[in-house]
Amino acid sequence: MIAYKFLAAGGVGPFSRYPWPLPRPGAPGAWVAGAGGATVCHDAVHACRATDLPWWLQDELWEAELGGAVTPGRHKVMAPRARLLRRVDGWEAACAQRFADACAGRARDHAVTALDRAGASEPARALAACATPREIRAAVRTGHPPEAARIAYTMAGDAAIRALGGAAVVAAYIAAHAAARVDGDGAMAAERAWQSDWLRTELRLDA
Amino acid sequence: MSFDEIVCREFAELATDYLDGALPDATLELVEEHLAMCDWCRDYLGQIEATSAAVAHTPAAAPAPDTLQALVAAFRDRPKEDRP
Repeated sequence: MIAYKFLAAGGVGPFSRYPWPLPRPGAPGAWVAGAGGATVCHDAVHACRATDLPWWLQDELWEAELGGAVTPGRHKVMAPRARLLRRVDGWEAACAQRFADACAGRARDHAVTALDRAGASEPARALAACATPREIRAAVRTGHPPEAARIAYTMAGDAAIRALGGAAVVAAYIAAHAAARVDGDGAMAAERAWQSDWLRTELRLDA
Repeated sequence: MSFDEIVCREFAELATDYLDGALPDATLELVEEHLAMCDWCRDYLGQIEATSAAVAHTPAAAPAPDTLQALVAAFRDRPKEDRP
C-alpha cells in the first residue's frame, strides 16, 4: 500500500525521533520494521492515508510504501514495515502557510454563519469581508458578537492568530471544532474532509 | 458535542505511560494526535523526559547512619499486627 508519512525536518519521526533512511537517487529508502523496534513504535510503523493528513502536519511529507498486513486506525494506518519512496516537494513552508490561511478562512466562515443565525447581520458582513488572518484577527479583537455566536467568533480569531504564527495543524483543528460548534459533529467530519481535499489537490496526491 | 480526542489535562495524566510505551493502541493514537498539534504538551513531555534523564544519572544517596539505625529500630519495634 502507498501511504504518506509526515516527518520532522531532516527525515526524523516526530514522536519516535527515529531518523528514517531516506531514498537515494533512483532507489527507495531502506525498509524500517516496527516489530521489536521500540525506537519506531511499539509494534508497527504508522502512516497516513490522504484523508488522515490534516491531523499530522509536520515539516516534511513523504510518500511511503507499507509492507505486510495494513491495519487501519481512526486517522492513520499501521503496518509491520515501511520505506520512504519520495518526498512530496509541494509540502513546504509556503504551502503550509497557505493551508493555515485557508483554515483560518474556514473558521471565519463558520463564525459568519453563527452571526447570521444570531441575527447579527452587520458583524457577519464585516467579518465576511476579512480576507486575511490579520484582518480576521483585527475584526475579532474589536467586534462585539451576540452571546449565541461568541464562541464561534472567538474561535475564528484564534484560528487567525495560529495561522499568523504558522501553526497550520492548529488552525485546521480550530476550524474543525468551529464547524462542529456551529453545525454539529457531522460538520467537523466535513471540515476535515475539506482540509484533506485541499491538501490532496494542492499536493497532487493520489487518494 | 462529543469528540474522540484528549485535552491537555488528560494528556498530562497519560504522559508517563506514553514515555514508558505502556499505552494501548487506541489511547496512543489519541495522545499522538494531541501531541501533533499541542506545542504546550510537547514542551511538557520534553520537561518530563529531561527530568527523568537527569534523575536517572543521579546516584542514590544512602541514608545517614543515624537515620538508618532509627529506621531499622522502628521496623523491629513495630507491632506484630502491622507486619506482613
